[in-house]
Amino acid sequence: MEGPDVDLVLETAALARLEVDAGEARTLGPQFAAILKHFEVLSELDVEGVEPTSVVSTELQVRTDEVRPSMPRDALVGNAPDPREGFYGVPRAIPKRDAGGQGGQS
Amino acid sequence: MTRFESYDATALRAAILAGELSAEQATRAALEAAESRGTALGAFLHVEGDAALARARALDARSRTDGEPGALFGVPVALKANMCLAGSPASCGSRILEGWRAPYDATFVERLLDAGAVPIGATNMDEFAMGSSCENSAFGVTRNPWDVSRTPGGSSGGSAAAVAAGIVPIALGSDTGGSVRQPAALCGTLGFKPTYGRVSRYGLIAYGSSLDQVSPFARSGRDLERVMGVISGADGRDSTCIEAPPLAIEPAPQDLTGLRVGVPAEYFPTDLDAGVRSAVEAGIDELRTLGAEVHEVRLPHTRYAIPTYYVVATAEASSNLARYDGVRYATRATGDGSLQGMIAATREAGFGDEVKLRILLGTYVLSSGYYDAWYGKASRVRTLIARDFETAFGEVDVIACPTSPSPAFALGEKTDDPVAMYLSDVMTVPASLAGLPAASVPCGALERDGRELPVGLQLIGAARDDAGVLGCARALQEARGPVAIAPMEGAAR
Repeated sequence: MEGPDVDLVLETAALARLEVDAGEARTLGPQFAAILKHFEVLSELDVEGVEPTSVVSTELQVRTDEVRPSMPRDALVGNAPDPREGFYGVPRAIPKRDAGGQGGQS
Repeated sequence: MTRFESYDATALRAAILAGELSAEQATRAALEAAESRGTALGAFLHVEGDAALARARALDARSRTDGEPGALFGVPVALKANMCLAGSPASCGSRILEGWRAPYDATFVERLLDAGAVPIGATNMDEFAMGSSCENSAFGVTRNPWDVSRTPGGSSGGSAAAVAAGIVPIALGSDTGGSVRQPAALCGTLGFKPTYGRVSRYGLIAYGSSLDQVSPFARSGRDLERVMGVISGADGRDSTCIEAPPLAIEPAPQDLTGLRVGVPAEYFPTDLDAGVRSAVEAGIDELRTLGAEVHEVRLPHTRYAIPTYYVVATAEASSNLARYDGVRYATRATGDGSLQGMIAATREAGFGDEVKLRILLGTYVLSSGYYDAWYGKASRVRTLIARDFETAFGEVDVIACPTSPSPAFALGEKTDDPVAMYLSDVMTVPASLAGLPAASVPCGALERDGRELPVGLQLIGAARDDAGVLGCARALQEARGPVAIAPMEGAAR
């Protein structure tokens, strides 16, 4: 246990896929806590029956449903760190049965 | 500096069409200024000299029979580094997108090019537009051209500095919670955030999708109208874009006789900087002189706007930035070699501290068990803030207030205190949450440490009344006279 602020940062970092280490969490923890404390002013307000606003446009627009050319595949995949034969290369996600662990390239 | 560098875009285009200079000469002057003044300020992340000159030469080669020249014919422009220009880097000021090149043109970039504008480069910004001082870029800070020991504001600080220093007459930024209006105020330029949906976001790299709007900087009110006339209008590639024709480019400034201007007491707190207060009051007096009637209005939920904004914006950011996973974009760190390890290590190495902090906040306020108390609550308070404005616009046509509670602050002054930094946005976030059009117009200056620092007056309009806000901004700017080019105080010559 590192204290509630630091633990909260570490738990949230895992959800956000951020590799925050304990030292970084000790810096971020107090900032995180100070910001949440500042946000607490919202609890003063009674919002019972008030509709939430998520998008302010009155209505979302739709366009004519017609076939159009797509973005060139190479232009998109070529920007990736590991383009392979028109696909995105990633580390193996499902372990090999005989290896019994993670890791290795797909 | 040539005399053309003090020209606004409207005058520069006219000079090019009159044959006083070529588009190539205008572009060359902008590129040279980007190299000298731009480098001293850290305004640009990338300058596209060859491509810009090629575009300018192509414009010069056009025959007179090629039809009506575009509204920005031959005008050099700068784009914030979160905007897609096909083939050009758009790093968003982040290591995680270092080396990534846009595969297509944003809708607003396509429209700028069609109008004859010449993009010269990508401007510095707080990483992923998260910041109010341009100090969160992974590639160095941008300095304020009025006093280089101070920030230009943010997040679109590079675009603001480039326009203020006379490098380009107009530049685009993006405004999510004030990221164009606040730097416009701190750098002494005009800036305009349109009604949410007025400009397509297709090709603007997302931060807070329900708030982000492409927004121009300029040194004249007529230029703001001109660039908005080019980039606004319906677009089938963004479902939140309003189904309406482009805004008109008006031939003359608006007559303000009888215009009802509301002044909200909530924007003039007792601790407001005295120099800001007197400059803004002088600006309001100027509106009165132009024939406007000034009334008091109330916006009682203003004090809840900062927490509401930072809950909503970080929630949207945590979702938008989930896509940077080491698979599709530019950079990857190996980590422990597993897929999950690669994703976490890439994000750890690629994102800066402020971005991580906001992703954490956004993830937290959306997480199971906390969602209703934070995101749910903030979405409802957002409705109350929007209703305040609706009530006020039943009584007045436009609201006038400060853009920023203080003038440009020193580099490093707020970097260790995120809450103090967030409070820099206190006067710009309410209009963002309500999706309203709002401009910042220079209204005077104050002196700090022997240097003159500009002050901005904010004009907020009712939803979709972009033309009204632009007309009022233009009338105020023209009454006050030409906007001065910043003197680059403290910069090495």
